[in-house]
This record gives sequence, C-alpha cells and structure tokens, in this order.
Amino acid sequence: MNALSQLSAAAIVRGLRAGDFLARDVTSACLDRIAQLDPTLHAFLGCRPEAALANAAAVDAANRRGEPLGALAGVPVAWKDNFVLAGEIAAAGSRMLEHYRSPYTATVLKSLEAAGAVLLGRTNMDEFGMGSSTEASAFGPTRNPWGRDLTPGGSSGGSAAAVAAELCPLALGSDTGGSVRQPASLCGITGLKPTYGRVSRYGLIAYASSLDCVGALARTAEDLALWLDVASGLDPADPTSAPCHGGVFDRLHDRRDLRGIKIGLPWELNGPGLDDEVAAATRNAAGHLRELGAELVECSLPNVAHAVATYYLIATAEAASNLARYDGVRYGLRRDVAGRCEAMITASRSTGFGEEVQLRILLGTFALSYGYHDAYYGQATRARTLLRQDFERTFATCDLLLCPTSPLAAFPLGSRIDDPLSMYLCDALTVPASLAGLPALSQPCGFASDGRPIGMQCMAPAMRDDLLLQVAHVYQQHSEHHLRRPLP
Amino acid sequence: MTTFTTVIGLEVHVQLATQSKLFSPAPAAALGDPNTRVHVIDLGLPGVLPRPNAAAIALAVRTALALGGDVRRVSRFARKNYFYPDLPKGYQISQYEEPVCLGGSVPLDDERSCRLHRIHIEEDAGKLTHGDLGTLVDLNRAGVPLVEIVSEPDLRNPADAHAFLGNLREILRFAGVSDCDMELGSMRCDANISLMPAGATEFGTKVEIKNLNSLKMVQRALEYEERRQAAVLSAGGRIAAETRSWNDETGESRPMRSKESAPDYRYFPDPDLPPLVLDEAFVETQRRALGELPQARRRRYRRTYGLPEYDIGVLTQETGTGDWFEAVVRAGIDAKTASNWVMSDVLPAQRERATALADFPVSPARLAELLRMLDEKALTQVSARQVFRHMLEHDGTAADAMRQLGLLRIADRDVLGPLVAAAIDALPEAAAAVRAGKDRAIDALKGNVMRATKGRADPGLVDEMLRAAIGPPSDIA
Amino acid sequence: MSSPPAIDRALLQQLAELARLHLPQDRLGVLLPRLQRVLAAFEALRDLPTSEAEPSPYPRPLPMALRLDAAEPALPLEQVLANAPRSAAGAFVVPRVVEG
Repeated sequence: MNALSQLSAAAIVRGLRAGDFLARDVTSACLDRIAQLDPTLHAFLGCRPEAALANAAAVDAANRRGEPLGALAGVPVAWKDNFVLAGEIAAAGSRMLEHYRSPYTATVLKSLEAAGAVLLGRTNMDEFGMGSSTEASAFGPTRNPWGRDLTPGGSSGGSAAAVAAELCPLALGSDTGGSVRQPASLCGITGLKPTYGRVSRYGLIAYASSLDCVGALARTAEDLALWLDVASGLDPADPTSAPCHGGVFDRLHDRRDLRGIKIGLPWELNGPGLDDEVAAATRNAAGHLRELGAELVECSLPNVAHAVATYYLIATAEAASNLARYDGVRYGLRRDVAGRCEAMITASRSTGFGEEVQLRILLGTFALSYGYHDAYYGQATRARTLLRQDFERTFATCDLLLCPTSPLAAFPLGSRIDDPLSMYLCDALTVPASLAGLPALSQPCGFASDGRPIGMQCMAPAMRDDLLLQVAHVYQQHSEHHLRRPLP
Repeated sequence: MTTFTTVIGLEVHVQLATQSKLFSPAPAAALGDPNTRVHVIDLGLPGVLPRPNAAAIALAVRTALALGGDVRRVSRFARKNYFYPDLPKGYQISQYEEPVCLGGSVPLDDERSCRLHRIHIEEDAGKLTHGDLGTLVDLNRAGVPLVEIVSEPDLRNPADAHAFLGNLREILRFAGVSDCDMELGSMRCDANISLMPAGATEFGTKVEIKNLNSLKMVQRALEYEERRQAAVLSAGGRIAAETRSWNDETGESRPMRSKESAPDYRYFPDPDLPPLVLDEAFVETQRRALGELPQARRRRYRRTYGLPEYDIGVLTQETGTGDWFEAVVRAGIDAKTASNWVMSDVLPAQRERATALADFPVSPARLAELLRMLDEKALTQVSARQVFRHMLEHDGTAADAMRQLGLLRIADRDVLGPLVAAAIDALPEAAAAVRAGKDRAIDALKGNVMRATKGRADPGLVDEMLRAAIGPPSDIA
Repeated sequence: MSSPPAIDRALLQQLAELARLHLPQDRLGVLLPRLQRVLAAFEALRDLPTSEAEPSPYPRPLPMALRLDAAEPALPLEQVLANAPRSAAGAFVVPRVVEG
C-alpha cells in the first residue's frame, strides 16, 4: 500500500493536522518504496531510516500534545548530495568527498528541520553539479522512472527521479544552469529555481557561486510554494542572500485564472533547434494559458544566442577557483606520492575528480589565465550584462516569459556523455535565467508519442517567484499532465 | 667609480586590531595551540561562504584616512588563485583592480614624505612548520584581517625606509588600527630595491627582500643590498630579478627564488562577495574616530604654543595627553605652565595609578583653577603641589582642597590690618628698631603675623602693611 | 574561416599544471579535442561587441551586508581534524614543503 507515499507535501501537512494519519506512517511508506524501487533507480546515495523515523515520531508526539505544527511537519524530504548536514556524508557526487562528513549544517536544511520536515536521505547527482544527465556521478547514474534506459537529466537527477517515482514528495536540488529545471522536465515533475539570493547558499557545496541557486522539486507547484516560504530569507551566513517577502503559499490561491497576465514568447527560445514534439507540446500549453486568460506576445532576447558560451565560461572559471580547496590537506581524498607536497596535491586532485570535472576545471583555468582572461572570462561577464539588459527590456512589457525547459525529452543513458558540447547545448534554454539570476520554473506540459514527459519553463522578473508559482498553480488546476505517474 | 641612485619601495602588511577574523567569527588572536582558533569558514570546508567583518573594513578605512589616501566609495574583493598548503581555499581573498584606497603618503620628516600607491584589504594565510614527519599546517592565522600598504618607489636610501616604517607605525598605533609589532608579525615588510646610475631616469632591475622582522633589520638589509648591487654593477655584472631572504645573524641575504616567470594568479572578482559600497556616514565616522594625527598636532603645537621640542614630543605621544593638555590651555592657562604641570605632575601621577587620562581624578578644568590661583599668587609653588596631591585623593575643587588643607592665602587688608596692629603692640622694641633703620628687625613682626595666620598671610602684603603702620625710618638716630 | 584552435597541447599542459591536475599523454589526447570543439563553438561570443557593457560578475546588483565584529568560540579541535587525511600534534600533516 503506497497511498501515503503518493501524497503531496501539502496533503501530508493537512492530513496530519486533521489527524488522518501519522507522520511515522508517511515516512515508513516512503522508506518502503525506496527499499522497493531504489535498487533499480539509484536515486539515493544514502538514506537515514532511523533518524527519519525518529524525526517523524517527534512530529507525531508534538501533534498529540496539540503543539502547532511547522509548515512542512512530517513531510519526508530528500536532499541533493551537495548539501551538508552535520554528521552526515556530503560527497557532491564525487570520489573526492566520498567519505567526507560535515561538522555543520546548511542553512536551508536547518530551515527544513525547523519547519518539521523529515530528512530522508541524500540523492545522486552529477559530480559537483557538472552535468545534465547524472552520468557524471562518481557513484553511477540514476535511471529515469519513465524508462530504465533514459537519463533523468541532471545534475539534480537523483532528486528528480525520487520525486517522480514517489519515493518522497519533495526534494532539494541546486540549479546552476538548469540543474533543477531540466531534470524536473525530463522526469515529468515541477521544479523551481528561485531568484538568485532568495535562498541561502550557505552549506551548498559550490559549483559556480554567481549562478548556484538552491531549488526544489515536487509534483505540484503548491508544494514548491510551501517549500519556498520555509527556505527563503536573508541569511547573515550568505553575503549574497537577499531579503524577500514571505507568504507566497498564502497568496497562491488568490488567482483563479490568468486574466491580466501577459506572457512573452521569446522567439529565440521557442523555434530553432527544438525537438518537434517538445515544440508542439509547448505551443499547446501556451494556447491553454491563453484560454485561461493570459495574453500571449512574441518577444526577443537578442543576446540569448551567446548564453551557452557566456554561461560555460563564467561557470567553469568560478568552478576552477571553487574546486581549488580540494587539495588533500584538510579533508577529502588524498594520494601521497613520494616527493613533495605539490605532487601530493596534484595526485589527489587527479584521482579524486572525474573526467567532466577535470575538463571544466581546465576550461575555467583557461578562461581566467594570463593573456586569455579578458577575451574569455571578461567578455563573458560583459555579454552577461547585455543579456540582463535584454531581460529588463522584455520584462518592461511582459509579466512572464515562456519556452520549453529542454530542447529534447529524456535521452538514452550513454548517448551524449562522450560529447560534452552536445550536452552543453542542451542547457541553451535554462542558462539565460541563471545568468540573470531570475526565478524560473519547469512543469509538465505534455508527453512525447512514446510517453516521455515534456516540460515547459516560465521565467519571471527578479523576486517575482510568487507570480511564477501562482501561474503554475492555476495551470495545474486546469490540466492533468502533472498528475501522470511513471510507476505503479 | 660610478655613483648610483638607490630606488626603494616597500610593501607593508599590517594586522588590523579586530576581535574576529576578516571573513569568519573565529577569534583573530592567532596565538594558542595549532588549529584552536578556526571556524569552518577558515578551514575552507565544502559549502562555506565568507562573512565580511565590519570592524576590519572600518579599520582599513581609518588606515586610508590616517595616511591621507583616497577612500574609494566602491571597492571589490577578488580571488588570488594559487595552491599552497597554508591557503585553505586554494585562493586568497584580496583586492585587486579596485582596492579600498588609492594614493596617500607617509611622512619621512617634517619636510619630506613618501607617496603611497594603494592600500587594500586581504586575509592572512596559515602557518607551516617543517619537521621530521613532514610539514605541519596550523590555520590559526588563516583569515586574520590585514591591510597591505604599497608605497611608490620614492625612497632613495635605507635610512628613509627606516623613517617610513617608524612613522607609519606611529600613525597606525595612534589611529588604533594595529599594534604594529614587527617581531610578533602584526606588521610585516617586504622591500624592493634597485640601483640606477646617478642621473638616469629608468629604474634598474629590482630585487625583493623578505624576512625583515624589525625596523633596524629593514635598514641593515637594504644597506647590504645597496652595497651588493653597487659591487655587481660596478664590476659590469647584471642584477638578477629575484626574491632574497635576509639573515640578520650573518648580516647577509640569500636568493630564495627567481622572479623571471611571474606566477599567474588568475585574479577575478569574488562572486561570493558583492561590491563593498561605503557610504559617506561610514567614512565620516572613521574620520571622527581618527582625530588629529601626531605629525599635524606637532606642527600645530609648534605654531600655536611655541613650546620646546621636548614638550611637544611628550604631549603628542598619545592622543589623550595632548587632548588633556589642550583642555587646560583652553581654560585660560599659559601653554608652558600647562605643559610643565602635565609633564611633571599629571603624567607621573597617571602612570602611578595606571589609569587612562579620561579617568584621571583631577579634571583639566580643576587643574586650571589651581593654576590660576597660583598665577594670582594665592599660594606658593610648594603648596600648589600639596593641593594637587590632595585633589588626586579627594574629589573637589582646588579651593576646597586649600580650605581643607588650611592653605587659603590671606591677602585681605581688612583681615590683616588688626593682626599687623597687634604685632606692633606686642613687639614695640622691634617696631622701634625698624623705625631706627634696623631693617632686619621687621622679620620678627612678620613672624608674629604669620604665626597668627598659620602661615597663610601673603608675606609681601604683610611686609607692606607693617612698614606703612610703623612709618619711615627716622633720621634722628 | 576557421581560426587556429585557441588551445594547443602545450597550453593545455600548462593549464593542467596551474590547476594541479596530472595529464598523461592518453588523457591529454582525449581532452584536447573536446576542449577545442567547445572553444570553437564559443568563438562567436568573442565577436560580440561589448565595449559599451560594464562587466557583471554577479547575476544582479546586491548590497553586501557586513557582520558585527564579535568572536565566537572556535570549532573544537577534534572536529577540525575529523576529516584530515593525516594529522599530528593538532596540525594537518603534508609531505615536506620546500620553501619558495
């Protein structure tokens, strides 16, 4: 009986408050389903059943005593392997950190704990977030619940697969260039990358600091609104975090239709290079949004053509620097070789980092190196300004922008891993919002003829995460794509 | 024999006197057992982010103001990327293209100064100790806040380098920025030196000297390097661009590494740290906290008060001393008198009590009152000191103290008149002797009056009144 | 039309040294063409006129909040060293570093 594991986070909280079931039973249902399905899916890298059941029991006890329950009380949550939790392993999908245990807890995990969430376990990911298929995990790929030979996308592929397969209702992800939105799209669920700075990055193992956003994956927009209110807010431990308004969940139901909402369709992101079925599904969904009252307009983001190059130069430059701390001195994998300290550092890094990570470190080192710095990193930061200005112009007349999340639906495992460039080009639709720090959400909008899910992406002006979620919620009240599940 | 012009530039690292580190709340005191002053941020653990310390920024701004630099309203932290086991993140957070301060200067003497190129904020690295096991890494010092002060190559001899550092240290201590202890490492100096033929305009190849742990060492090392380079160049040789390490025991420096291939630090703006934007109020607060610098104060004391150099030196050693002295002068006391009292009475008493001048039991206004009475001859130097001592122990004005000590001088004719008459009545022979021209006989009469007033009568006035009462000496005798 | 590749064997080897990565010949043979293909695809960005644009190292303008200067207790030593591959006498131990 898996009914409890099928519940949304909002339904769990409502049910607990009404006394319909116990938090312990919800967690047990999720743990049972993990035991049943995860050996095939490989969504999880580590589970903590005892701790999770103890958390759930504490919620039940508080509930019995009539104490007020937190916003996510009793909701089992998985987290991507790049968030640190005191005493637990946080490996970021890397051999380098395979045995690393953090002495402190990420701000977002603290917020979840404080809201009563039950922390289930950590999910698989491309090493340090560098990949779009979860194949770059040092611990083997995750499989897509919609097809065992398909990638779940990445880098938050483990979290996406776990939520899609109903192993848990909610999972943390991180999104640097689409790592929440793309796997959400490929797994037929809803994923939110909030405005940059809205959710603290403290305790998120860095890939690219100016792009990394803490995000979440769920089966409904409503659950993401619930999560966002818990997770967001100014954090003194993150100098790039920003103050913001809460109450997103409370205002979610304010809107019954989309009248008065103007949605722009940037032609650069809605035409060239898209899979036909992806393009058609997005067109149909846009039509549906119009039926719900939205006004659709064509628009243009001229500099988006350079977004992939801009993104990869900035992201890898920052990554080369962020990953310099893995030197075998204080923690992490260490290879002592005869001779000097320098040789130890080189041997440790060459052993601990996988192929894709090494490639990106080299690319980023190149982008910053003497003689190339201005032409590559410098040029990319200026192109980023032009792209930001494109968005500012467009949002002067549009409330939201719409395009597919990924140019193609879930692709077979092994089909792109040896061709980094083709993998990078898959990010073309998600990196623009990342570069501009804008909130963006992916949700199911249709299916390919062979049944693979297709996602559409909405982008909003900075700090309009609330509008993004309201519109997604209205759409989900009037469509059923998000309700279709891959596995019995 | 060619004569050469020496060109010296200094790079000085100064540890800012904060409680916690630049980007973490770990204690900034780098003492203690290895790795007992570290936070997860200092370890560069996965997921940590820097938390910039407002006090470090404030002290860096104060440094810039004290040295007359241009405090940039927008500056930026950058990452300097290199691998070394004492550098936990694989990069040092520093400032590169946009430092917190451009320009400024350090005085060398009353006429000359050395221009500064820039001042920037950065974090310190850890400490390595080499042993049998290998190298030990202690990160207590990692993340301690520093400012790096970079001079222009304006210095022309080692003695000027010494003066530069001495004056810089005085200013920064005065400004409360740092204790600037070179031996303990809270002030560190690297020196760049090159020689060029006298009259040339193009600088020669420069050599960097490290491991300089005192002002004297800086001067000795530069003198050695000046001689060494002159010998090489005179012999037709070339100077290698290199870093040399000074050994003070042997009095020689040795090459550490070549500088021919500059390392590629791949600086770029730290994406974890938004630009540092300083508003006018923040800078103004630091300007007020800074007060007047010793150099400026000395110039003013010379001009306004015409005090001897010795006095000026003592009074400007600490801000508090000068402030106290000036308060006495403002209360209407002659500058030299005030200076004498501050130097010979106030400061020794303060040292005895080991208190700050702010908590000194006698206020400048009360000392001024005492000195005014002294000036009006209401008491003698000796009793003034007695009064001052009394005031140190008891709260109260000088007049209170004199009353309690019974020292209020009697210079009132109405009070003294009857006493003078009584003395003449009591000692008619003495009065007669004075009248007969025996001038010394007046002492007995005076003594009588003084006894009657317990020594408080104004002796000059008593003398005058006695002579008036007795009348002029007669010619008859 | 095709410009020489931005990156060659020698440069890649130099970058690997800067990044402290060991690149034996066979790995270099795999990585070099991949990097060349990626950089070739990025060439068009270099022709984008950007002289009017200020660089954006951050996604959007944010003010930097400063922390008040108060020292907190340090991390207990056993936690500092808990993940250390080698430690002795309270310190991390690495193979002997040659100064300079």
